[in-house]
Amino acid sequence: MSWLIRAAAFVYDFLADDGWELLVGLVIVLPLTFIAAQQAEALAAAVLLAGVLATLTISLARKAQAVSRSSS
Amino acid sequence: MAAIAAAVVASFLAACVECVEAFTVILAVGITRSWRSSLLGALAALGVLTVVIAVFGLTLASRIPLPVLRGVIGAFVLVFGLNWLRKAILRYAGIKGLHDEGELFAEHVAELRDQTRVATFDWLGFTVSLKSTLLEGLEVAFIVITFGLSSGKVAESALGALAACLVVGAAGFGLRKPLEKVPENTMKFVVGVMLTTFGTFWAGEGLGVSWPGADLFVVALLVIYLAFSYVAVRVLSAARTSGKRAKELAAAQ
Repeated sequence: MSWLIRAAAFVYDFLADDGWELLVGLVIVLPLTFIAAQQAEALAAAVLLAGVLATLTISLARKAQAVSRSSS
Repeated sequence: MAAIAAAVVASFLAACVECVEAFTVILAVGITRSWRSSLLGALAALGVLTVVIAVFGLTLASRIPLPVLRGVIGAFVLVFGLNWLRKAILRYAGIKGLHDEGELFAEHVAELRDQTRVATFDWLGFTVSLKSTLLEGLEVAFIVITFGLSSGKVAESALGALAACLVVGAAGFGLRKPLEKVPENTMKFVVGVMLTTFGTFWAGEGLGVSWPGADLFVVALLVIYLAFSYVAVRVLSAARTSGKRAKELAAAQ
C-alpha cells in the first residue's frame, strides 16, 4: 500500500510542481469544456480559453499573496 | 509520375508542419532542461512509434482515435506549460528570484543524496519531449497513410515525410547554438507560452472544440497568452513595488 501512496505522491509532485491550483483548475476546466462542446463548439472554445486564463490568474495571485505575506 | 510527385510533396509539406512542432519542443527542452533527457525522450517516442506502426501497420488510423490521443497529450502538455509560464511570469515580476538560491540549494542537496543511489535524470524534460514527439510522429504516420493510400504511393509518401523530418532536424540543430545564448528565464518563458498554446489547442481538439480558423487559431492563442503574460507581469510588478513602498513608509513611522 505504501508504494501506491509514494507513486501517487510522485505523480502529484510531477504534475502540480509547486502550484496545485493549476492542476485543480484544469481538472475543473477540461470536463466543463467537454460538456460545453456537447452544446455548442464555439462555446467550448470560449470556456476552455477563459478557464485556462482564470486558472493561471488565480495561481499567480495566490503565489504573489503568499510571497507578500511571508516577507511582511 | 505526377501522382508520385503529388504524394511526395504533399507528405513533405504536411510532415514539415508536424516536425517543426515536435522539434520546437525537443529544442526548447534541450536548451532549458537537458539535452540528454530531451533527445532520449524523442528517441523513446520514435521507438514507441516504430513498434506501434509495426504492430498496427496501415490499420493504425482506424485503431487509435486521434482526438482521444490529442486530448490526453494536450492536457498533460497544458499542465507542464502552465507551470513553466507561471514561474517565468513570477520571475519577470520580481516575485520569484531569477536564480532561486533556496531552491537551488535544496536541489543540490537532493542531487547529492541521490548520487549514491541512482544517477540523476531529468524525467520532466524526458516526458515532455517524449509526449510531443509521439503525438507529432503519430500525426506524421497518419499523414503518410492518408496521402499514401489516397494516391496509391505509400512508400513515396513515407519518403516525403522522412525528408521533411531530416530537413527540419538539420535546421533545428543549426539553431541550437544561437538559442543557447538567450537568457534562461526568457527561454523558459518562451517554452511555457509554446507548451500552453499547443496544450490548449490539442486538449481543445480532443474535447470536441472547433477552433475558429482551424489550425490558424494556434497563432491567436499564442498572441492571447503573450498579451496575458505582459499584463500579468506589469500588474504583479506594480503590486510588488507599491507593497514595498508601503512597508518602507510603515517602518519609517
